[in-house]
Amino acid sequence: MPVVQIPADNMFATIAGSGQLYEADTHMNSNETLHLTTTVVVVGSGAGGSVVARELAAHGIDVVLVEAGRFWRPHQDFNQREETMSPALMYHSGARATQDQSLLISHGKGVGGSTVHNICLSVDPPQAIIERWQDEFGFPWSHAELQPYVERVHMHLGINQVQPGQLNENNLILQRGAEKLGWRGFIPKHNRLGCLECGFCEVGCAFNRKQSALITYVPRLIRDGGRLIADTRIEKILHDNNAVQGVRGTMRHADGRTRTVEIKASTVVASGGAVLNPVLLKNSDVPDPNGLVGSTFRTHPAVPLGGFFHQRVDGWKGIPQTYLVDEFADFLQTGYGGFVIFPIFGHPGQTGALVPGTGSAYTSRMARFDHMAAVAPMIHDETMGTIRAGKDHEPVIDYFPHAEDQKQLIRGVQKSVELLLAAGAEEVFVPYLDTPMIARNSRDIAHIATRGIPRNNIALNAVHPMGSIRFAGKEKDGAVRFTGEYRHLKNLFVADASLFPTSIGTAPTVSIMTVSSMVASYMASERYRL
Amino acid sequence: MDPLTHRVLGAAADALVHGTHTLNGSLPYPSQTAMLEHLDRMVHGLSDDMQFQIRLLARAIEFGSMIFGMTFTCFSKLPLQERQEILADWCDSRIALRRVAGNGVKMLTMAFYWTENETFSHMKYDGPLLERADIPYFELNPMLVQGEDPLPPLPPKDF
Repeated sequence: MPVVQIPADNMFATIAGSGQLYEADTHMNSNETLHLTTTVVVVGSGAGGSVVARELAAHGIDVVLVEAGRFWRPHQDFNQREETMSPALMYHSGARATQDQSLLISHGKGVGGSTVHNICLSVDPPQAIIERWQDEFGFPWSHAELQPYVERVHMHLGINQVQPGQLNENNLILQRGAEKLGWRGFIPKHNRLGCLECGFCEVGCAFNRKQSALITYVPRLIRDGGRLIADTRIEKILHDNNAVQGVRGTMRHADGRTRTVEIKASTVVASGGAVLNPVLLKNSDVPDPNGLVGSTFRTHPAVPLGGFFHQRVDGWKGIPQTYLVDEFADFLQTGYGGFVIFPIFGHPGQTGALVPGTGSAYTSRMARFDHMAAVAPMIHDETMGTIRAGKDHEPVIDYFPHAEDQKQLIRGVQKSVELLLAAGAEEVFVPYLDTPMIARNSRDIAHIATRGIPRNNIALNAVHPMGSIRFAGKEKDGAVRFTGEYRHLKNLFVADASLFPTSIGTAPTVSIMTVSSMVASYMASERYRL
Repeated sequence: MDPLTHRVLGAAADALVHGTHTLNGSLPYPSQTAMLEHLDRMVHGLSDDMQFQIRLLARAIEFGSMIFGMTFTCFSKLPLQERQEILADWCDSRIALRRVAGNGVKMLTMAFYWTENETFSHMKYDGPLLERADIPYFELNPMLVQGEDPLPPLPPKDF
């Protein structure tokens, strides 16, 4: 096959000029409904949707990929400013709250979805988790049988090993603390090429070093004849209770103009993510006889902690996550329980929202921003939350870690404080809201167990929503088959993290793309006959 | 944001940072920066329901402080120090509703305050690389679009 180089500086111009990109800036010239017809429409262009769309297009199948957010042109759109990019790249600026406001969930919007704002951690599906899926849910493929798909994802994303010399001080602190305590940790792989180590991954890579779906799968989709519609929120899956007929939604311009978009398709793939997929299916009255849609939601809840050090840390500089502590990641051995300690340094807007106090006490802590290191224990959760459809197509999310998950979180917080103190922290802030806790010694660490994980009284974040429309062998366990087919409406598929029957335990991008590749493989096969 | 929400969030933000550093001029008051403009732009992009919730939050602060504090003066009209005491009290409150509201206002405003350039020197934060260094946008890895093997077929299984 020929090798064709498209210089990245005109890659986006190539896409824009291809006649295959529809966006509000160029397609709001009429207020008539925009009608399209295709074989497959994929709703959502994140880690799941971009993969399915691209792989189907590579098979010569007519595909339209629809995205609620914008088509990004990084060199124009990514200015590295939190106040602009957080609202642009993430729903609710990364702080979508559960109904009781006790947990904040981050999920992405825009072409490429969360792969545009994520931190590039590239971790393969854990073997013990896949074995658990086999045992509990009848997942038919072994971990070894997933490898061709995993390798394909690696190839597309350019996944490579982070080098020891690329650890910034925030990550070196984790490493030093772990080594002092004799805890296991590792330097992960990532999907950056030629990284400048500027530290602004979370607000979109302005230099195209982060190999997100935006600059990998999506350009290949366009090359292979796929169509991309941006700025368009799909509000309904059209069906006759037997089979899908297409989708309908609204293209929205920043100036407020709207235009209805209707796409006729014989197959629909819901890839809007674990938070929004249930809303779409419920608002579309998609049959759900067992009430499973939106009832098995998981999030990997985490508690952000800040340690203050004598030395300058400058945690915002360099690659954000290059050392992880998996000493307590029991799920890697058994498929159940435990947590990973991640470095989580944020830029000042994000950090300032969490640092405790008011007045001079607060501004004095912010004056020590350059001496701060930040970590979070992220648990492999078993809690199953629910998502239902609220007003304005917004999700209403009920999720709070149950008692066992709270015990894991407490242990995670204790171990994280112990790690930071071992690494030389003078004090560690534990983000209880009514009385912020400053931990300095083992007595303080023990006291964390007494304070626990009180609802609405500790900062809790989650960045990996998943499992809300899971696949399973039995109908009573999952509304989706292992092929990605939705059981109760013909030719409807789900392909993203919604499918996971359990938490994956770690950064999910590679797992999402692997599973989505497998769904695409089935859809392109003789068995499905597109 | 409507005028009341704008006023209350501005008043809250000023109160949250009022103290040594704002008094000695090493930090600006949020109302002296473009914080509210950026916050307004973000709120404008939210759904109608979310915008309603933010209006409700502002009113909870504005009038709730009268109820709990048993005064006749609404929050935004109080002196800075009193506003700060009220917010500190709400943020630390044992009553979940007040605690959620207080911390909600703090998160909303402070996320947009510490992104203002005028605050960077206080934190010794450099700010965006794009604003400091002349890095050519076109010094990019070319996107190699090459032939690759077809997607592997799913190993056949009975399920």
